[in-house]
Amino acid sequence: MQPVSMRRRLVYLVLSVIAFMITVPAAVFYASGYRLEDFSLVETGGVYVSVSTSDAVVSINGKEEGTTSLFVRSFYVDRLNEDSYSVQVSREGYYPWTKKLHVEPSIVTDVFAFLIPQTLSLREIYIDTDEEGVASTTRVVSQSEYNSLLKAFAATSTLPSAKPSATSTPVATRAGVELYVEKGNLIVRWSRDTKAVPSSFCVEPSSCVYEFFLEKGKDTVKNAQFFLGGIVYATKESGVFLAENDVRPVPLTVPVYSRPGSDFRIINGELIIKDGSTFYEVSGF
Amino acid sequence: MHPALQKNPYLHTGRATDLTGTDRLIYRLFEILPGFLSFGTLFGLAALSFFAPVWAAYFTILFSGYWVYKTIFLSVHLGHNFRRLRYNMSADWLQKLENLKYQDILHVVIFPFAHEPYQVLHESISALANSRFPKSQIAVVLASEERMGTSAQETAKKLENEFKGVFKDFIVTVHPSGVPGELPGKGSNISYAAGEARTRIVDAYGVSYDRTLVSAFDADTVIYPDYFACLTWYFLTEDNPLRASFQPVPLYNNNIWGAPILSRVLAYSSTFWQMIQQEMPERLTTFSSHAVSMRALVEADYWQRNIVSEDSRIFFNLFMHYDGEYRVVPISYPVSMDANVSKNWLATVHALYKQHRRWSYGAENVAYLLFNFMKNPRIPFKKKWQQAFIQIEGFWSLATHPLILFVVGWLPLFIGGYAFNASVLSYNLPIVATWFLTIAMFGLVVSSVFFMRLVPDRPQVYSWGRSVIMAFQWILVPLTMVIFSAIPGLDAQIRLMTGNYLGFWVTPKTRHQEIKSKTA
Repeated sequence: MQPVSMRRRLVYLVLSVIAFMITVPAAVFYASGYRLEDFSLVETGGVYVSVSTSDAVVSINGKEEGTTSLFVRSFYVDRLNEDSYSVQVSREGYYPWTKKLHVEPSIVTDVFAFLIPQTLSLREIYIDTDEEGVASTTRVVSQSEYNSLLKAFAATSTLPSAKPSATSTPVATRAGVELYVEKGNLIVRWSRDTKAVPSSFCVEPSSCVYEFFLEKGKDTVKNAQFFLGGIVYATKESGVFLAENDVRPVPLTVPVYSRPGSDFRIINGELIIKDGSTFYEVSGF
Repeated sequence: MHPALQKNPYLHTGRATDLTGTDRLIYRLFEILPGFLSFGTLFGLAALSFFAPVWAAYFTILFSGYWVYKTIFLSVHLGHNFRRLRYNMSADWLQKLENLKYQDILHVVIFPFAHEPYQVLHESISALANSRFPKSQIAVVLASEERMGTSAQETAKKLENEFKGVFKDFIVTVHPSGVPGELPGKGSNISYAAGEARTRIVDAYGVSYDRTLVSAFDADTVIYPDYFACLTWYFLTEDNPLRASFQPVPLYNNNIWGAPILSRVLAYSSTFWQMIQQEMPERLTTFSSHAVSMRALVEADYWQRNIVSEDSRIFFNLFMHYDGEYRVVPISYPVSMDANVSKNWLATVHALYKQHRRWSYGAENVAYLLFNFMKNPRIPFKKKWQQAFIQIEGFWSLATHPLILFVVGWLPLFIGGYAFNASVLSYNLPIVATWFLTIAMFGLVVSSVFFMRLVPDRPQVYSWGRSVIMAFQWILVPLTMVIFSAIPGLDAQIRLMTGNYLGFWVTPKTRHQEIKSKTA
């Protein structure tokens, strides 16, 4: 037997080159977001939806794209023509989440679906004096832990004065996003490179803002913090709320504890509410 | 001075420091070239990923696609060589020789050794004694090193006593240490041994240099029974056989079942590469065990004594000496050698790295080639261009392609910036590149199938589970490509770039009795 003849090798080479010339440019166009439509190339965009929980159904314009799981928490949908799309994420026992997203050619519009449970548990926090008779709706802490709660609410309160005044320092910062309480309003600001604004600040991919009001109205915001994937804030008039950090419609804000004068702190990753002299631990997220 | 060096004073140039003046500067630049191209490619792509990530992403997709078709293209060649190898192994080569005049052919077989144990050499020479080719036409040269001390001499003496009378002749040579201008290692040792064999065997028996084939083996080279009949057939049927070297396929079967998984994958990756090259003779150079006529060796003053990669360099020496009229003939018949095994797993990994760095150090041939091409107007331009391209592209791709595929090609995703990360291209790049790489896994399946058909039968001491592991071991190839090809390749090229030249390093040949397996 002889080695492969030059002629046959040339045939292999030519076939490889032809296959390369056909498939690889097609792959490049595909990767760039082009698709063939009526014999012409149309530049498309995409949507990337990440979800905070598993077992949530993700739909775009009513078409189900999939269900999140322990390992799959996001969906990438590409080849979408330039248009507005309604993204819904739903899970039983959670507030329905809907967002209207604008898709532009060659750009992926990403969004984080922050699902909030419809039912949250409140457990009153007691000092450990006698364990007998403690109900499941209560949590017993030691005197020192209780003192820590008192200290946390006394020391870091951002409760504004009777006449709200502007503050130049953020009340909270996370990954370049800053929360400001100014004149009783809650403002979310982007503090880093203006060319790298997160999509949560962009009404459309090419139309971004550097700040937006999360709460602006009759209520007076007195405290705000990042919590889980959203923002928790307290108003003087209406209590404590949990909201998502996104300018795009429709913003989701739900009440957590609706008693005027209540306040909150995030202590060791837990949301603690103070109403008068009573403390509550909020769970069930 | 040897006539070959009078004709071409640069024939045995080993490195830039062997030269002076402008020649030294030019040679130095040629030594820098492989590393410059490799690092230029990698840093260039990294810079492109930062400044123009879109173009870098396009490049990654194009490159991934190129890799798929290259894999298919090479797999087809591998498949053809597999069929040829099997055919050649089943053929009766002595019968094929019946119509040829081969009775005056002499095979001088050189086994250079340093500190390899008796058992390794014994197995190699025993296989030679079991050859179907007439032993009266085979002479053995056991090439020892003075610097290795008395234990090596005792091993040689023991083997000489054992095999004296089995072959036409059996001599032991002792390469003196500390010869000025020599690099201690295989090249200087076999050159000395070949010179000794010429006077003590070939001249003594009055055999023509034109009818003498010298086989440069490693200590662990174990032949199959028809190897020398096959080699002789190719030598006798080749046009102008004195202008050709003859290259078998190295199968690392001696200890393959007992070798660690990384050794197995790397050893057979090397085998498959050689098999592919056998189907592309114009790309083939001599590697490891090979054969060449005594006439060519004498005329070119044997192997070069002052370099690391003497096995491939002898081809280029002869190519230069004969002004481009020299080639390598692929005989597609195997010899069996040892996969790399050291005393423990970590030592084996270390040895594998050093072995591959030594092989990658063949990039030193690039400077030799380019410099000699510049000095030799008698070599046709087409041949110069072809050889230069093959060698430069070979060492460039060895050092860069694995890193482009698995590291640098993905950089746009990490340093491409916010605008790129928000693009459809950014999201689709890993998807499309993964498609291509998944298709390229086809090459690993091909490797697994051929591997399982080339290794010897499973020794009884191993369970079927080992066979399963051996079938799936090829999944490690992406890892071995980076750690044992690209990184030692770059290491070798950095050494050439900086003038921190590599010395010869002897691969340890450790073989445990209990894991030894018969060759197929």
